[in-house]
Amino acid sequence: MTRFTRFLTLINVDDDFTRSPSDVVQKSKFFMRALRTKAQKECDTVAKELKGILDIAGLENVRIVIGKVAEEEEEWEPMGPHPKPGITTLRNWDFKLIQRYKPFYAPFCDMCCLCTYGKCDLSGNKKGACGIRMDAQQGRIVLLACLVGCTAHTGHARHLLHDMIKKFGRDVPVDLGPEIAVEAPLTRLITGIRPKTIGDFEEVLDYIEEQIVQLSDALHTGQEGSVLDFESKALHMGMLDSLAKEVADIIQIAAYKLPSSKPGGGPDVPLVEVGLGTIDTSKPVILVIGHNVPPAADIADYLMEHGLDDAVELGGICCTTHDTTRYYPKAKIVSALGRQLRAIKLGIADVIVIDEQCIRADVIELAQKTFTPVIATNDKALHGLEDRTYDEPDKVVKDLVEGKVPGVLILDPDRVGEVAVRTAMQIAPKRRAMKIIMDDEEFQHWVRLCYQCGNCTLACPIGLRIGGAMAKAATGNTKPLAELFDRCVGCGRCEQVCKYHIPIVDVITKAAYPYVKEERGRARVGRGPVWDTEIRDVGAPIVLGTIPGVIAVIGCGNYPNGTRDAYLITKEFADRNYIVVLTGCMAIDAALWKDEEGNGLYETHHGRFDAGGVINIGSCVSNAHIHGAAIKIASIFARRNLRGNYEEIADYILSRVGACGVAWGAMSQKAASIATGFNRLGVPAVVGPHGTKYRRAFLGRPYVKDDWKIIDARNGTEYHFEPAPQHLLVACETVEEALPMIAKLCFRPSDTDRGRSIKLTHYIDLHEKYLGCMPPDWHLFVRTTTDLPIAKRDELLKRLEDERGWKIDWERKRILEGPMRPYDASFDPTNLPRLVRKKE
Amino acid sequence: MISEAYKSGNVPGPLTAVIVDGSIAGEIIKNAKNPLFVVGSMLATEEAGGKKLSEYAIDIAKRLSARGCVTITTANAISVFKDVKDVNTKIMGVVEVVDRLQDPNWGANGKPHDLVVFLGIHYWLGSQGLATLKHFAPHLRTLTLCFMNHPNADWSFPNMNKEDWGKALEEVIQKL
Repeated sequence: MTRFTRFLTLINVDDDFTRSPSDVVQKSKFFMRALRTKAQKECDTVAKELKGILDIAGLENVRIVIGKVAEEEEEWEPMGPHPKPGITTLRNWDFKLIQRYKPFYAPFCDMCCLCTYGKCDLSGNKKGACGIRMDAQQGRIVLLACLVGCTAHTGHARHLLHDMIKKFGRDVPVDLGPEIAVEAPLTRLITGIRPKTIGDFEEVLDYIEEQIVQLSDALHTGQEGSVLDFESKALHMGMLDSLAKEVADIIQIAAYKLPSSKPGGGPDVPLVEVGLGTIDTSKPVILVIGHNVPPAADIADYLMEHGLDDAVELGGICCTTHDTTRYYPKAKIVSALGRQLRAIKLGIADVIVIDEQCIRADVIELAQKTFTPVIATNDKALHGLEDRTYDEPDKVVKDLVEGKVPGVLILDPDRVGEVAVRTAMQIAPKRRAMKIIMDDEEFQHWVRLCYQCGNCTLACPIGLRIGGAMAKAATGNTKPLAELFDRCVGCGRCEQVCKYHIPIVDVITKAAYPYVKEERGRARVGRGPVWDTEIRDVGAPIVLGTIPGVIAVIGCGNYPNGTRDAYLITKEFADRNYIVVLTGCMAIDAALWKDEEGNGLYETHHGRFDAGGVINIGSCVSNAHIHGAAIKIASIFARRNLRGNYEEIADYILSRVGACGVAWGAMSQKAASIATGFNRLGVPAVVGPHGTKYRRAFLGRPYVKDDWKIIDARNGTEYHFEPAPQHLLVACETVEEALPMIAKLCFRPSDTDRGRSIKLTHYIDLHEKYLGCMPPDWHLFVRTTTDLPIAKRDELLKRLEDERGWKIDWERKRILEGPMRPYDASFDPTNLPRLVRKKE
Repeated sequence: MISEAYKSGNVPGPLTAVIVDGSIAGEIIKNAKNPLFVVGSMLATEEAGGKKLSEYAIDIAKRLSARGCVTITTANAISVFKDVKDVNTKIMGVVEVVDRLQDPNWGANGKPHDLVVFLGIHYWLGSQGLATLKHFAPHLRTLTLCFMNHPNADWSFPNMNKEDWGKALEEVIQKL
């Protein structure tokens, strides 16, 4: 019996199947039906047996379709309770979070305008025509924001996967080097899959996309109506977002060999130049904008292959520039998102190449004003350009150089490099002869035209007082105008409302031009994942609290007061031996400032994932490695199983890993989904004042005692405990308020007394330094005398006695009565009763 | 009186603030049973009518303290009250105080509030906090004393220049 007839027998197809031509059609249908209906295990076994052996050459008129050959998987870890969780799988976990950290809503709009019943006025928490109340509508909008953010990352990941499989094949190994064994912690945790090749991520993306569709469905009128369930769905979306980011970054690391734990990676990644002043405009300049690196990588390849890497400048804006420098360290980081408008208007680029996300919608219009052709490379941002993907490069370059078209669309990333480089080289001499930067005479004309109506201030997101600075510039003092340059978020709304059509952004840039030319910093290239070996070294000190926290400085540049806050937050915590990890725009903006010796933070602080480190993790999608570091602490240090075990690991992180995200300039929907993903994993986040426009915070109420119950997993004893962490998502008004808040959100119930003492020292010190007084709630975090900062122990004991009525044994310097709970070094906190090992 | 929102895009819906002058604002505070004064970070940086904004805020806070009322300082506003006597202050984040104010039984001085008066909060943070109270704290009325029109408040000053703002704040103080 041949293997094939054995196969047919197994699936109940008789062995004369191929002998009767008249029955072929019928038998084929039967065969396929049998394949579909036969027990999966049996089919899989046979398919496995046949794999690579089945000879189909002799078969006629038979079509065999095998959807997927399931291979028996190596049992690398027992599967946990929640592989590929659906919408309701982790709902109980979400409700635990939301019970403690209740949604706080700040509606941005009183109306719902989503269906034709409306507009509905929901003010005063009224119900709309569909029955939804204002609070649920806010939850709905939060879910919508997370959807938009999550789809951006997932779309990006899928796009990368298509491109990388096409270019390198699906068998590119996921090998992140000798120091990383847990290569994809989120993928393992959420899906239970251990990816070995980039092709293995297809299944992961299939899962994400299916979940996104189901969650999006819930947004439709007449679906979800519960505040809690909207938030649970938003948290689910946030988790999917984190997973999509990991997929995207690991694919590009594996395919492009971006830094990992191979030689030259990790803490040893090179420094690259950052700032508008770093671009050498005597050379042709290509500016890449967006988040999806393949077109930029192709430009770098073309430059290197043609020996042009020193002849042409490749710079970038936003996350594409992070990833470009990870691939090609000769590239320069021109700016974060906040300087995009000004970088384009300055005309430094001879060619602009856009891919996806965070690209100005008016990029073509702006670029035309500086005679800069645009090459769009991604179907998500086509900008009305003609598809010239398969035209002869000679023709495309000619049309761009001669200005016959404002730009072109080239959708195959491997065809972008030649066109971009050749266009830049040919157009650069022409553009150098053109006047792009405003001259002094024109500058004076505009500043004198301003009559201080204040419209620009009303339109400005941060209320910059531009008119007053214009008036001073008209008298020859350009300093106040120049000082607006860094605080400006670069939106350009001021120009839209100026009655005299003053090009306000250009005028400010002109005033600041002497400083802009000198804007030069250095940043360490995005290093990607934190190494397992680093986690082994810092896992214990983080969980015990002696490394007081991991601060994730992430997100966009919609700062309330300029980029210096990014530097200040990073420096303050790194100097205090926290581990500071950065991504995206804040990783760039933090590099723009220097100390008195002229050194930037990446130069004065090491790049190891260890106390005092300032670590550029990379682009937005690299945020997943911050999740990954927290997960690895649970996995590698605490030896918890990861596979399909999200709830337990999130519980571990919430209770033990003193990490806090800071998205000080959060602007995009991606920032919403990123923060929500951190929140579901048990990591709190602080946003700037504009973050309230996301409409929702997760606030803990320390004064509601029953919100703060935690279980000792050793015996099931339930304790009331200190608010650690107090909030899951909170907005702060100023950086001075944010700094102690960030420190406060690093408290965890698992802190040892030594760790708690260190954390309390920083919390009190930051509060005194920036707000000028002791924090009003410091006593909540004291469990025992040794929790108190050593230098202030006696003074604080006295205050506890005098101000709080605590009983103190002064002879033994011990607290006898007062704390919310006693300190127990062996305390094993959990929020999940199922994890109790032995009930008393 | 009609006034555009300070941020031209801030058009929340049909329910927008009634514009008041300093004298009416003073009366509103005077007639409230237990007003709460919430002051923010702009106290440390702003000027009005040639004086520091903090001077007006301290004056108002003192007069309210004399009535047993509390002033909440958010962010770094506490710095201007550091050496000030006769003022009952508490420190809270603006998001946290707005959150507490949704509870009709809560009061910073132990008694429920009927009016919240804001001064010197970052515009958007203030606007969003006022929106929370507008929708979820029907037991409260809200008044802002900033130079920026806040449509989400019950009562707001119109957009005004710093000179006029100083005069308006003086009028408030005189009523107290």
